[in-house]
Amino acid sequence: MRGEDDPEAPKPSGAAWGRAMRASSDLLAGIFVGSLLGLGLDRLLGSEPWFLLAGIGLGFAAGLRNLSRSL
Amino acid sequence: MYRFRAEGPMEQFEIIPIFSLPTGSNLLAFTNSALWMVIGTGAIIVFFFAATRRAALIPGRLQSMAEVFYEFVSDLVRDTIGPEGRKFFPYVFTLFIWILVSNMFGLLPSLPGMPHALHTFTPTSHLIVTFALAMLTITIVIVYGLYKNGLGFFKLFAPSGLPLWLMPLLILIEVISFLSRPLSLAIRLFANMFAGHVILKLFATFVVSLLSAGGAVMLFGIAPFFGVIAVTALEFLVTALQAYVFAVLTCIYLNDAVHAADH
Amino acid sequence: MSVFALVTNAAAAAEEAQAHAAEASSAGLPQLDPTWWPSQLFWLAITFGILYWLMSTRFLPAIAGAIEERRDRIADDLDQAGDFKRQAEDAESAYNQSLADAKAKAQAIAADTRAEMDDEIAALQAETDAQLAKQVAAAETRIGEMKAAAATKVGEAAAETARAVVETLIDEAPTEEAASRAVADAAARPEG
Repeated sequence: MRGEDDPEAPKPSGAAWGRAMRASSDLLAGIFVGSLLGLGLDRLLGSEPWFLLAGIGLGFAAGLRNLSRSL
Repeated sequence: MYRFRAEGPMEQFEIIPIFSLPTGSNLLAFTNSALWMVIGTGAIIVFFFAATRRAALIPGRLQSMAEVFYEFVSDLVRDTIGPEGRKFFPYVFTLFIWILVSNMFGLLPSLPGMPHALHTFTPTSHLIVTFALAMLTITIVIVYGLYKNGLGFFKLFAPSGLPLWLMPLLILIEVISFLSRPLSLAIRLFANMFAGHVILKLFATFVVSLLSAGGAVMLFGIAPFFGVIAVTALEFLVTALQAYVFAVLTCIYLNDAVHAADH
Repeated sequence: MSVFALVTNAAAAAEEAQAHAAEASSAGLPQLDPTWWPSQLFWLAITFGILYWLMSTRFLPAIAGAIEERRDRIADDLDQAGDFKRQAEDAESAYNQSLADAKAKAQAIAADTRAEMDDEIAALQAETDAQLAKQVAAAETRIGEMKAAAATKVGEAAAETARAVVETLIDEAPTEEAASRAVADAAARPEG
């Protein structure tokens, strides 16, 4: 990401805090969207909890994808 | 001696209705959150109205400031999206300035003796607000991306050069990733505002309780008092940085919509 | 499962969640209490919408116009300054040209004058030289005449003297011719 911390240079805690915040929000958002989609499909098809589980898994993968994109 | 009132660290986030709309329902009531949105937006409007009232060749102080904001966001949009980003410039600018002012006004001290409903409030410290802004961006990206690229927009989700049997899985992951990026943005802005305000409030509460203890104990309130000042200064930096980050990521996201078919 | 059942199901779940959240909000995060979500979204839409409208129709074009105008004006001013500079350069070169012309003219006049004066001086000098030469020549002729006259007179005097000497010595006076011849012989004979 432009403008923010350079991964090459270890910086004081402010930058580390920012990076931790970014990583956790990326991961969390992926899992959240994945499980939300799974939950919706489960509700729609009455297939609890299978889509939710798949959604959590895919969401985790998507979160990692976000992380790899932004770090 | 004035009795300092110490609140819990979460009270500053409580929503308090001020009046209901004439519809009778409390659903869309005017709350302290709405009050600070109106105050922030009003301040922006007054500022820009004053700055552009007489657009002068040799700018005054207000106009120079407005031009600094303008050039800053304009450069950001041009560098990230390119010349096609011009049409998103007003959106990104409004987003940036609205978030910036909303974040910053939340750091103003409340006037002593005010009812709780009029205490300073940070609209962006509520997830639903940042989430709504992120959803707005996502909607713009999808609608504009489909309009601009047609079905080529979906190339965004299809990574090239991978075995066919992996495709459905990867496309699903890409779609979720795409949908979750603005959410990540919303969480980040909200969490920064939330955490900063909680820390500030905890510090301040500490100072207040030491000060109101009276006597020699008051002296121990001095160090945390400077701590509060330092944290406030840091918070001002964070508010500006978060507004900037939100604008940058919005631009990167919009860039996907504009150049989806180029992948 | 029918659609109706689905909807009521969802509604019930939402209600339950809401009740739960309201319960939690008294102790927990006000952010997770959905009671005021519609209000927040509503006022966000209003303030953000108004701000966007004003920005895109009034403020940003005004700022862009001011910046653009300034840029144009600066470019114009630069152009004009360039023109002025070129004019100044032209004037300078013209000035230099005329200065050089004037200098050349002055030099030509000075050279002419000098040549004229040289001629005049040369003429005067030649005239003077000629006059002097004439005078010198005249003087020389006079001197020659005087020399010749002196020489004859010396011969006559010598012959006279010789006659007188001879007359005194031998008491016989030689003729004038003999005395002259003897003097001439004596003058012709090398000395010593």
